Amino acid sequence: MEETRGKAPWLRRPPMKGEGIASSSRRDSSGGTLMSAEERLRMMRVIQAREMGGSYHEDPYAPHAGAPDQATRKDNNKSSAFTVLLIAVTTVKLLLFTSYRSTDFEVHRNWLAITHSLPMRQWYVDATSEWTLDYPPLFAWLEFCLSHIARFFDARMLKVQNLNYSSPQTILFQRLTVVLADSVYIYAVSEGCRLLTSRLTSRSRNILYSPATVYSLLMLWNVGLLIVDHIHFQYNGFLLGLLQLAVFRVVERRFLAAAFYVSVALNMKHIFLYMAPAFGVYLLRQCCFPNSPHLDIREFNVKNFAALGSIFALVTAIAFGPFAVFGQLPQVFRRLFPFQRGLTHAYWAPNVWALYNGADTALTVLNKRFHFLVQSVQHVADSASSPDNSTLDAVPLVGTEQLKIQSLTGGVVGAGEPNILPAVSPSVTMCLTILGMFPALWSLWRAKVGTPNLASGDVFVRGLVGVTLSSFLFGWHVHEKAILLAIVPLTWLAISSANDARLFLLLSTAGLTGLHPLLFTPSEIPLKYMMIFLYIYAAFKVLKDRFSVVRLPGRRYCLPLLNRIETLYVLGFLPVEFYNAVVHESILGLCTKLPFLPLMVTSMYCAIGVVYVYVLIVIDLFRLSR
Amino acid sequence: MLLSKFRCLHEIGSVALFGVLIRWIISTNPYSGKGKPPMFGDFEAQRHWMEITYNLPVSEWYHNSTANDLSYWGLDYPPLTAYHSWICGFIANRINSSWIALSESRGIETESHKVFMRATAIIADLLVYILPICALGYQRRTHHGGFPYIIRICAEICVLLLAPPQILIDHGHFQYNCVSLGLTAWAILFVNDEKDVTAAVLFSLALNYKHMSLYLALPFFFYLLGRCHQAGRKAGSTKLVKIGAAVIGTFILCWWPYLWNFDDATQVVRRLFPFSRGIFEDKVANVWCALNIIVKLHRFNTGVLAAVSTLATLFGNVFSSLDLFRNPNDHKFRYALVNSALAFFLFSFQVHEKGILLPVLPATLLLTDDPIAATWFIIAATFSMFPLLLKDGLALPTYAMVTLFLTLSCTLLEWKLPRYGERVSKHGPQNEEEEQHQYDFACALMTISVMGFVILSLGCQFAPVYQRLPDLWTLLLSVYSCGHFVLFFIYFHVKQFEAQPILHKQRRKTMKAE
Repeated sequence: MEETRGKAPWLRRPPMKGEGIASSSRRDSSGGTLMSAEERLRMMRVIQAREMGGSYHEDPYAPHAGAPDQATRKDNNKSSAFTVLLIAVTTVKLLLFTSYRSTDFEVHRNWLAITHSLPMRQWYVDATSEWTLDYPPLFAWLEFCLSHIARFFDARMLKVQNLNYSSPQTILFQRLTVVLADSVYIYAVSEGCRLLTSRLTSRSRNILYSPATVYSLLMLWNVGLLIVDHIHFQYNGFLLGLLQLAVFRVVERRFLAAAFYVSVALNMKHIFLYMAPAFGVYLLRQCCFPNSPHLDIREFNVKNFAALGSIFALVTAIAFGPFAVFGQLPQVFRRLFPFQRGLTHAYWAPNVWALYNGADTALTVLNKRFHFLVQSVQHVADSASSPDNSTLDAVPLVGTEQLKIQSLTGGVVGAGEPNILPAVSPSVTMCLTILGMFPALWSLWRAKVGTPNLASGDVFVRGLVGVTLSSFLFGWHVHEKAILLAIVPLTWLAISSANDARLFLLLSTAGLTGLHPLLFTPSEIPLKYMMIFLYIYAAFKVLKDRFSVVRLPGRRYCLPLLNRIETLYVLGFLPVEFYNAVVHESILGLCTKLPFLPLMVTSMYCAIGVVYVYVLIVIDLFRLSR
Repeated sequence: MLLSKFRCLHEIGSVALFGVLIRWIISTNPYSGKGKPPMFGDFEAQRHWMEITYNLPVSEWYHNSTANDLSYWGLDYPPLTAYHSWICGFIANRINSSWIALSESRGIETESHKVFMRATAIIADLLVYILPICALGYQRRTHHGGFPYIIRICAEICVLLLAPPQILIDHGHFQYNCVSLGLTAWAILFVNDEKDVTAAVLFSLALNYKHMSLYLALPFFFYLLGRCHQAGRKAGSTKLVKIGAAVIGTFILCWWPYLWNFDDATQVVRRLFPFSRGIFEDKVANVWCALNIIVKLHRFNTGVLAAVSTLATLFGNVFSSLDLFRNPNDHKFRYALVNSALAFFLFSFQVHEKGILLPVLPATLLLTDDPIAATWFIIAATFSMFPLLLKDGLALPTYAMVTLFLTLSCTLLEWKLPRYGERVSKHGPQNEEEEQHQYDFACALMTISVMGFVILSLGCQFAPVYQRLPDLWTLLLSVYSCGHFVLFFIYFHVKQFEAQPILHKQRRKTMKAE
């Protein structure tokens, strides 16, 4: 079933692709073991035409699909691409065991210890380590289960007092749990492949660019997850697997299963609140008003509502129940929502507030030079030892005011407040987030009801991405890792429409590059750049081939699927990151003067891309819901 | 073959970058001798050479002195290694001079220094090893204006680049084998291109980087000799003189600082060939170590052993070398390289586990033509070094790399049995069925054999140690590997005798027609 929307005029699928391949492979199998000279010539022409920027009507790799060799043919079944990608990425994960791990490693070890050796009443109270338990209880239950296996590896990791304990067995165990927990994610990806093959069967017989292969490549090798889970250390793959399963159940219109997966995910990590409104609105609309194209309160389906509500309530009760019995709910929620942590995370996530803080910093610098503001902030600049020095962090650290400036550009966790622009309160971010979600929620509410049509799933996924991006852009104390919550569902859309593929390419370029400051140790710096570059390269490559982009003369100097400005933006990452990685420290020697400038530049540059994608998605939502 | 001739550069480049990425990931693992004073390991040896070469004048590099204690990782590689160490030392000095401070820097173990050393190995690998492998993979598919089958080329290059032994030793254990192997690969590339003089120069450089490249010297010699013989009396002798002059010139250039003093030169040679170390080290998977179980070899005189092992090595080389001389072609040449290196590994004096890297290089290049045997051999070679890798804490990366390599090899390459000579002409359903049977049989055998390796390697790690036989599992593993190598030695000989030229097939035919 072909997507009809989202087709820009410059994109065109080659007609009759499947047929061409089928016939050529037939010819191959009957013709003998070697490719004929004519065929070779024809392929040369096709490739040449393609390189000249012209169009072609056959898949250049078609003969490969019907490879003459028996052994190859035996291997080239549908599942093998998935299996190969899976095995390869798993071995890479194993190889990463000894690489850098962040404090999150100790965080999770501490949680293992807390859940194993303390009574349940103490779980959300204990503060032996500074890394207190701040995930919802279902995750604590998971850690509790894991800790019973951990005993067999090294029992000493389960002592709460053993802070920063990292014996080789501990590392092995914890890393292995992440790899094994990823099986949920892998199951979700295989479910996605199943859906894609059932949906887009007649498209292409070529294994290499079949939707399922492209999807499994983009998902299994998601570099963001490799960086965050397998180097930095967290369990996002597992949780995003739950999210994926929920999305697929919605696409299949199995809403109760979807509700179950969402509830589990929410009770595992409350970051899924970012997208919960999308699920809430869509499920309510689809389940509770199943028969009314126009909203009619008399047709409210109480039975479905009760079913949805009871699933959510049951999961939540299992998770939070014991703590409610202990009367610890306020304490648990204090741990879960630490509002004292400040507007932006240590490293600014690439969102609106990064731009806001960036603008504030720029104003501060300008103010120091031109003194256009005579306000309380003026003394910040005046107390500097060299007032005519225009660079911000040239100020030596003498007073608290300087610390304040430093903390804005710095990696200090805390409530860094802007100097010149007004401070932002949690309620403001809340209002902005809801406002930003509105278009997406509106489109979800307006979505057609009750059509058992897989394309309607895409409406939901697009709305979901809109909602998540809005939370990411406007939320309070957002982590840069949260961008994965938007990238993962967007991958699903990218497979079926070229316009969404373009959004995916932009968002993954901006979002994944925005993740790289997580890794800063010398041996991981080249690693992260290579990984991110290769992933983005591969994404461009496979999506370009998947949509068989034909370049128009006006788009000669553009990356596939992008227009000129977007191309410039994506290519702009190369000089920006080159400056950050090499020029700033080694050539200009500014790492002591302006230690945090590279982080600031990265997060602001990425923020521009994320905001742009958000705007495009909102426009799409309006366009499509009309 | 110039880089500009490549098409689809960025696809191949991205595959090469993937190879670099895997190497870099491996390099986050521990290296040999980490945290094991007073001698540490090969990592410290390489660092120490940078220290020595950077701080001392050239003439003192190989001599024992107060500043240069030869018993502490004294330089025992040929001069090109020393020059390379000097360059690395020069860069190290620019970055952080404490890394190579004379005698004060011994056993330095800082994170930034580790990254520096790892980076030097990976840069050397990229420039000297990865490039020719990419070029060879490209050349294999595009000879005589063949169609650049880009996906196939990329797939093959990807598998060639991920052969585990060299990656694990260079970037895990830590050495610069990539340089000598890479120079050899460059030489093979030029041999395929029929640029024999350049090839001879490059192989001489490889010899001057690591004298273990001698394992591969006989096939080069007989191939070039055979080519000269083939070219006819006059053209052949001119060519022979040219090649000889090029080789001698290269050697003179490399040994320049040591040629002016007889003592210096003999001292270097003495350092390179230490006969005092015994016939084999540790538990190496060769014939002598296996024989040692039955006959205790250390009771014999070292001189006798040396003579016997040299004779055995030469005997092992005779057939493949003569065959290559009579009929030099690119395909036989690759097989002959494997055979000769295996003969040296199995029979020669003072063999190290890492010597298996030398047959592995030509076997890697055979992956495209004889995928099953080459893959199997490479995996056996990886496991034969397992005790060494285990000591360095590289057990898990070894398993991971083998899995990765095996998976990619059996899906990205066309796994089939090689068919050469008369068997090619036979066609028909019955023959096809028979081939399918053979294929299944080969795969089954390989599965069983790899399982055996896995079990033995697990035994090395986890099995309880018996008081009377502390090295039982290691010894079993090395004997098991040795058995494999002997069988492969025979198999590759058979294949060499059957091999037909690949790259220059058409040209040969037209020549015959004329």
